[in-house]
Amino acid sequence: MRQTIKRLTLLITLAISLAAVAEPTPEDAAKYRQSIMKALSGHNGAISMMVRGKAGDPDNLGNHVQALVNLKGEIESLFEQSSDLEDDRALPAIWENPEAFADAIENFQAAVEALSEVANGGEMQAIDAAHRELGKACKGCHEDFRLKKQD
Amino acid sequence: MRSPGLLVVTAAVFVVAFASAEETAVSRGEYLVFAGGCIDCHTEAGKQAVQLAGGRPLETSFGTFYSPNITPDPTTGIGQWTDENFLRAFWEGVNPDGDHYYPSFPYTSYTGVSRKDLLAMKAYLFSLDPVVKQAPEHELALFISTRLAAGAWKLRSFEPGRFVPSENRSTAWNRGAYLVRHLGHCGECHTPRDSFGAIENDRELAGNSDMPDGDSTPNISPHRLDGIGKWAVDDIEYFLDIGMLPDGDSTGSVMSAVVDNSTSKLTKEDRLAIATYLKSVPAQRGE
Ligand code: HEC
Ligand code: HEC
Ligand code: HEC
Repeated sequence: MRQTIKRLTLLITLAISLAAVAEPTPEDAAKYRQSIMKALSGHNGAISMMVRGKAGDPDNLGNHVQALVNLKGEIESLFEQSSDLEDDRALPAIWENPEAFADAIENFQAAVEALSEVANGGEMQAIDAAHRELGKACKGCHEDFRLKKQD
Repeated sequence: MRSPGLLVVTAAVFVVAFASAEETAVSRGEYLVFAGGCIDCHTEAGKQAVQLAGGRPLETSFGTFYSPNITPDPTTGIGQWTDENFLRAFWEGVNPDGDHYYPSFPYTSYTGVSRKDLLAMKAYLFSLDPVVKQAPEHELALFISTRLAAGAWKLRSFEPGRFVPSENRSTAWNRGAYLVRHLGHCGECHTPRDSFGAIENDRELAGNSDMPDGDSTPNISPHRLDGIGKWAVDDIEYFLDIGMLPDGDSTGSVMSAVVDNSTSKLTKEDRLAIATYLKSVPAQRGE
């Protein structure tokens, strides 16, 4: 009996790890990518409400900046698989122009670093400035690599 | 008897006053060139391209237009233009030889810009270093390849006329209307067009799902679901400054350049004026 359970557990573990390794379908890869992008914009939006003094407790600002720091490393892997543009907005330029795309990622990661450096200081003006730079990095990548908003 | 010293002093004062009036026109003109979004269209892509020296391809469903060089080079640029030449180009869409411009040069919006502002822009352009650079010929579909076709289009679809401020609106609203409808030409992209390519002013800022390149632009009228009706005035101002939407998303495609080269360079007061005006137009449903 014990033996059987052990074997079963092994089988299940194997199945799970296989599932994780398997290449996602393009649809799922796009959904995943969009979820991460939405996570970025969620934290980014929260930070902007705080720096503009409109809502949110500035004591929580560090949490949202930390979330961006945690997410920033994953960006590259989001674009490993090319898309077919049926239901997503990732432009072919991403795969046709890998160097420029790598630059856009690097800009973004550097902007997150810079924001995280000033966030600890609590100096709102410096945070505002760094957050604007981050906005430019998002916008810069969306300018060349994301399809226009479709109504 | 008049002392020669006084004359010299008077002359010096006159020269200084003249120089500073000129300088103000130039710096006002620079600001207006930002507000007018001229840099986007009149500068080639790439870091080494000289600003406003033209040559940028603008793809449309009628073919490819190449923006002209608008630095003051006398042969390849606009160095020989008179004030009248300049005003007529913007107000009437006509070149110094009397031929019609294609509406790929958005004089359809610029026709509302004031004489004072246009001449300040000219002063600024003429203060730039002249660049020798001939723009390529437009590559257009046969049926519009002569400027007569542009003239025919204008007869039906172009209404020349300066902006007239509305007396029962605030100063901010009037400033915003001037910037959105005319100098900033937001409607060229955000207002739908009829089948002849004329802007449908009764659907102002409702979004254009039929852009020349087959793409679309969002509805920016204050409709709460289809437009930006949920954005506060200061959300709009913030967007025009850094390109960030209230939900934390960042804008993209051609709007990134509009923010970078135009709206982010304006004063906060002007951005608030634009926002005030955007909040005031009729809310339009999406198509
Ligand atoms: C290196 C390029 C790049 C960077 C940097 C980047 N994005 Fe994106 N973003 C994209 C692409 C490409 C898409 C389209 C993805 C798709 O449709 O599959 C996208 C899509 C989005 C979306 C739409 C998601 C959806 O629901 O479809 C949001 C929101 C977003 N990004 C926010 C952000 C924010 C906020 C930042 C900065 C903190 C950022 N992005 C940084 C490339 C980037
Ligand atoms: C060259 C065409 C063009 C011009 C000119 C232009 N826009 Fe845009 N605008 C766009 C496009 C395309 C988008 C969608 C960008 C994206 O997210 O991909 C956009 C997005 C926007 C948005 C965000 C709406 C949303 O729901 O994402 C606002 C607000 C806006 N524009 C305001 C303006 C204003 C104000 C002006 C004039 C000062 C202007 N635009 C001029 C093309 C243009
Ligand atoms: C949407 C793109 C676009 C924008 C924005 C734009 N232009 Fe142009 N402009 C053009 C094109 C294209 C032409 C050529 C039209 C033709 O050949 O019929 C042109 C023509 C001109 C000319 C005539 C030049 C000549 O040699 O005949 C002048 C002057 C000019 N633009 C100045 C400006 C200024 C100043 C601004 C900003 C206030 C501006 N333009 C904004 C696209 C643009």
